[in-house]
Amino acid sequence: MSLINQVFQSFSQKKKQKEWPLVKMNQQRAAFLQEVIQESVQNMLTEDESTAGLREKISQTLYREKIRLNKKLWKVDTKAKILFWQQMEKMFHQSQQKKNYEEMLQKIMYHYVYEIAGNFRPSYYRVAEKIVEYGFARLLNASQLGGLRYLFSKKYQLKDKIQIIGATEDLKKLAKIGTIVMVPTHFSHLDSALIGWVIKTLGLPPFIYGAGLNLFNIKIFAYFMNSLGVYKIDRRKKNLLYLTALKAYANLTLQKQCHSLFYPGGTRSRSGMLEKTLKLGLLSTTITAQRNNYQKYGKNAPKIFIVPVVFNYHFVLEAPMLIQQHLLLEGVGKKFQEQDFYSKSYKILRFLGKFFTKDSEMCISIGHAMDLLGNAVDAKGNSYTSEGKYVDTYEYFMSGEKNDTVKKKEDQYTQTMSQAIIRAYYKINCVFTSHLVAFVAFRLIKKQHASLDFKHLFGLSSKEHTLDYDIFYRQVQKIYQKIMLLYQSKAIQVSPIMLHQNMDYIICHGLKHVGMYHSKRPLIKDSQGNITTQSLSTLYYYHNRLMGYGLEKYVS
Amino acid sequence: MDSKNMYHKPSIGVVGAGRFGTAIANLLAKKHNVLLYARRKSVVTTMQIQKKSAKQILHPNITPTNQLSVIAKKCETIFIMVSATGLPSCIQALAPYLSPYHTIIHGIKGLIHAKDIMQNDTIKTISQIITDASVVVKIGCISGPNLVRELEAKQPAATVVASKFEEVNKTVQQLLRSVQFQVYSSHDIIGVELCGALKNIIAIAAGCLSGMQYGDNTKALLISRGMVEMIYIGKALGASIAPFIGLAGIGDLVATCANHSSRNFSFGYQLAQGKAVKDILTEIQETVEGIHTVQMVKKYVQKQPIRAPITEIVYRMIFEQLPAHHALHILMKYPFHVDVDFLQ
Repeated sequence: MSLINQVFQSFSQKKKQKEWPLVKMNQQRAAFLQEVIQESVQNMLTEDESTAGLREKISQTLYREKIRLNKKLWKVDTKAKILFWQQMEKMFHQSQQKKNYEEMLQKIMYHYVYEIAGNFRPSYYRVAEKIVEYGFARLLNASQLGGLRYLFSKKYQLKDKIQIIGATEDLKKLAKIGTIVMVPTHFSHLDSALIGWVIKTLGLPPFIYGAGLNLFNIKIFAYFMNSLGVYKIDRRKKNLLYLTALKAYANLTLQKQCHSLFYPGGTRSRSGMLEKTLKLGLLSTTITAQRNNYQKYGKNAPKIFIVPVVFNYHFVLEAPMLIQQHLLLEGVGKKFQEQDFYSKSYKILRFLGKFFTKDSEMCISIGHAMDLLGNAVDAKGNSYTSEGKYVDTYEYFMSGEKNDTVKKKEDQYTQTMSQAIIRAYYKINCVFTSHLVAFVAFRLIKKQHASLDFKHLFGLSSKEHTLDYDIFYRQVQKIYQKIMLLYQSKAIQVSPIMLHQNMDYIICHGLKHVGMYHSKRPLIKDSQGNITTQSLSTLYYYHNRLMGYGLEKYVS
Repeated sequence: MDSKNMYHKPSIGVVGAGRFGTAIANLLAKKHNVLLYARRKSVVTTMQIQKKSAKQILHPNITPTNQLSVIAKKCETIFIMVSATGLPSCIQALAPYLSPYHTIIHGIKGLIHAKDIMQNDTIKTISQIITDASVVVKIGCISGPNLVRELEAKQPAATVVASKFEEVNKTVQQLLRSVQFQVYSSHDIIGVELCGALKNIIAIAAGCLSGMQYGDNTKALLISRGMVEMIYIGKALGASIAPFIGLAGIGDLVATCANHSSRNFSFGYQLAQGKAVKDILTEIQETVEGIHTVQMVKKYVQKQPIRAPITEIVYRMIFEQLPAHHALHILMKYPFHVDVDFLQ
């Protein structure tokens, strides 16, 4: 490529970037944040205008913050923040009139909104893009070809390792005419890095997304996320004022047409199952934003599109810890020392090294875009029912109802949307060989010990988990056929290996890849050629991926 | 209100000109213009000439039609009052004309057979079928002890409107409430729909008891055990307990089990006297929803960890010719020891 071409491309790229809604919004950051503060304050006052009500809400917030600050502090809990809450408490005791409380409300909202807000810098974004794109690709080549001398080889690209399947072409078109809200499943901290790569690979403009404030404790994450349009969600804060500020931020970024990403499950799936219930708080901001858009711009207002995304892995680094947490919640597991696999920057790099050196693969399934009520959307942004009837979404929002029922109606819309997202997750979930073998193995072990409850089942020694290979083989074959029926009726996706290889290969591949980096492997072949597990709980985690399709009743 | 002063008011649509559909149309017509839909042109013509439908005199504010497109165009709120078996074709025909701003209320006390993703048999309620088949989201149902004969006679009565949308409940209350007719609201639409459908099974059993000349002790036993069974099945299908202990549940159950003119009761009555199912249906000449419901529910409970002895026995009486006395004997021997434990 000639130098002139390169200069021209770089120039046109920068010009394009200036038009990104996220860049535009960030150019007027102070004004935007002021808008968020005012919206948050207004929302609080509209809910209850009385002095007593306001006093009560502030008092609750101060109390909760006090409790939080008395617990173990995070790195992000700076002295300045602690001082702020001490000042607020002092001010609260001196306040008596409504205007004092309103002033406090303003200050608290200011504090929260500035804590939540991201600060997008295109130059940082470009650096992060290059790191993900080239850094990972270099690591991949060095590891696959055998050593540092291959560091700059171009033989392998990230695309060889990570597959993106689904309606990507429509997504690119829709990103130009409306606002995309990606709603991925959440299994691992790696999801956020991967989705960043997906966005870049598909040529989409940057997305704004919420990340747990705990991730900002890690320097390498904090450095990039602070500049990537990431806003911070502190899950320790459950008070109404904080949640109102968070919702107002999300709502107004959507109204500014910034493409967004929510993890609607709220946190990583502890059980390894696809999410069955979603957190409705942030999702509801999409409905509010769409209504506000229609109120402002009428029938032709920009539409918000929901795009479900499912991450499919053979291996989830945090699986053993997550499933322990899940079992503990279910009253089955024992208390254990929590390990944060991503607690240090070097640990992340070590994991990435592992990922690229081993023969693992990932697949990211992108679902069809939907409108906010779950109707399918075409590349032009028009909504259609499953029977192909055109739907004017404006009518969902502007059918002339009274104000008091609007919120209740929109809560119901959010429910409808969450159900549509869950249905889409199950449809685009891509079955890997490892999911299949883990599912069958766990079901067979459970069946072998049908009289035991979960607590006793997990207490058995590994010798008691051994399965006869022939029985295992036949059952895998049976479930495989059921999965293919689901695939034919478009109720699930399957990996190319599942589609094109024979049963021996599928089982062998599945056994090799299921939870491949765990020190205790979920499934192995023993010296007699039978199937056994070194960690039943981890096997249970990977098995859970295929729950929800009613397949368990076919394992006999 | 005089009909001449109501031309500016939006019309309300009623799809289905059977007995209940006509009764509801008459109730609505007190305050609104009503478009009453019948599928057959000849029925519409008869209504127009005789000013009568299903042996009821039509209120002057009712206009008969056989065009669904007209109903959808002129009415934001549409009541669907057809039989459960007639619903799929009805909603399929209506759906192309519906928009998201429409509100649909149904008064159907039945269930629909469906398949899940693994092609297994499952059950759907009427509102679930309407949701699947149309763009309408504001869906509600009315259910309760609404015996048409008493409604016609303008006796005091009440119904329950259920919808997840508060707006729908309020609309129906405004439309139907009058001095003679009270309208309660609920947000558990699935629960209210199931109350209306499941009580038909118990009504058939109650008819059987009367057919065998048993008295009130036996009937009270059936109603209370029937109620427990309805709640277990309802919970398995995703309903809460609340609707079952309200007007749409126990209220409707008591009314139907005491009413000799109820189709389900009457069917059970004749069945206990040894008449063949085919002959009874020929005589009744109308849909007996309980027969379809018992078929679906029996299949469903077989795969669930719940016991539904009354449903199973009613099924055997209808489809396996189990004699009534034998059926009662089996039920009396059934090993139930706890009266009520579902409220814990």
